[in-house]
Amino acid sequence: MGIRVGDNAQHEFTVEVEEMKWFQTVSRDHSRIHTDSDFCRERGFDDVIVYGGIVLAHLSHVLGTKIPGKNGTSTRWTINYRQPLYLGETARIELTVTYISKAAGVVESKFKINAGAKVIATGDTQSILPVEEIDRSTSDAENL
Amino acid sequence: MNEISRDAILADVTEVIRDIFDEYEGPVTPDLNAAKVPQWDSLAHVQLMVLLEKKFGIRFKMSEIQSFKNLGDVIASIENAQER
Repeated sequence: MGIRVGDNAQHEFTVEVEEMKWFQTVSRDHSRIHTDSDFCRERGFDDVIVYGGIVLAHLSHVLGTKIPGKNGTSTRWTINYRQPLYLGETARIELTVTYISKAAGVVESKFKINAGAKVIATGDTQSILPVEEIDRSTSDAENL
Repeated sequence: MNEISRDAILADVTEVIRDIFDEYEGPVTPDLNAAKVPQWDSLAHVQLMVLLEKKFGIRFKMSEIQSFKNLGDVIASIENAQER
């Protein structure tokens, strides 16, 4: 049984100060929107905003461990950030397979990231995958 | 093979080629192949196949994807798929 159109995966995560510091060190991104609470409040936000790169790291977790899993190779991600994610908020990624080309060995998915009712981000991904991991009953191309 | 439908397919394929190989400014003709487009590597080939499947609402066979020698072969496959 391999991947099929309509398959979905979920992942929840909460970002805390330690991860923000770690990402700041790795990325060397010191922009005030991620580091300065007063700066953020002056601009109408509640507090510092979680780095988009950390959100993407959790998307990477979904892709690398769930769909398409450890044998997939990402070839495209698009993401639209909608509303800010703040420290301590629990975010949930919901990813659904939307298109499979068995001939090309390609799996495409859409994802949505929510924190409660708030939409943090939406986007889509494309991965290549060994064809034997695509469900045998899948036709040469399927899509939602 | 119907020349009119082939020309129409080539026009639509050209749109996809211009989009995915945005650094290529040469002509898009049936004899175009990966050797003439620096961006056309194996990964881009996979993405091109998926874009064409979606644009034309068709399904390539794995054997076809592996046997395409140039854009003319791709266009012939699209035309055949549309007639099936």
